[in-house]
Amino acid sequence: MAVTIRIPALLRALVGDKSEVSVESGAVGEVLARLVSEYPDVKDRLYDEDGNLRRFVNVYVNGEDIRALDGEATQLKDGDEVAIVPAIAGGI
Amino acid sequence: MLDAMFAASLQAAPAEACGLLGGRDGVATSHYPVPNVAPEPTERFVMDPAGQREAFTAMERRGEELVAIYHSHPSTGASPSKADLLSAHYLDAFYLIVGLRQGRPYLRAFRIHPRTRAAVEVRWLAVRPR
Ligand SMILES: [Zn+2]
Repeated sequence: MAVTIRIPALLRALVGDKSEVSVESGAVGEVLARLVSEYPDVKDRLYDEDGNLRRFVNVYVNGEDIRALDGEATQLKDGDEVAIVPAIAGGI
Repeated sequence: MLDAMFAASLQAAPAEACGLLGGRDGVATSHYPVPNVAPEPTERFVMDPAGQREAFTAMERRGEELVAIYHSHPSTGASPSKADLLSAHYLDAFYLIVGLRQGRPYLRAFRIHPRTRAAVEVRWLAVRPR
């Protein structure tokens, strides 16, 4: 039982230059935690100091924003694709 | 395309406008305006996730790559702010900033160094109509 996490260009250097990482399935939050335990450098990019997903990090499951699903509790099926997409943002 | 970015920036003022330019080989040929969903849109910009995604999907369908990311500075001049530099993620793209000087738009273009986060101004830019 595995799902594929698509890694955005800006995080690839932190996961050994891979564009996809395969991890064991579960809920979205668990799957992202597995990614982080395998590649600890990713943690700061995804989560804030309180351990919440950063506001500007969008996570999609098979193309659907997890905010429209069950958030990090969204259950994944074998073969699902999780995409991490940082929102483009800036200050003034 | 320059006109489209300028028009979007004027229309959004006093809020910041933002969007993407797609194309090939560093030459931008398509303009994708994206809504700014920042809670304080006069002070910052955050691209609407769905709009950003649609733009990337459209680029992929057209065989384009991301050439540039733009946003406007309605009142502070077209230099990148510290927050702009720190939150810049797509460093292969040009960072364009539209400034408004007494209501008249102008453009400056930058590359952001991936490690030092220093902005280097790009003096020459190919923007060609589709
Ligand atoms: Zn800015």
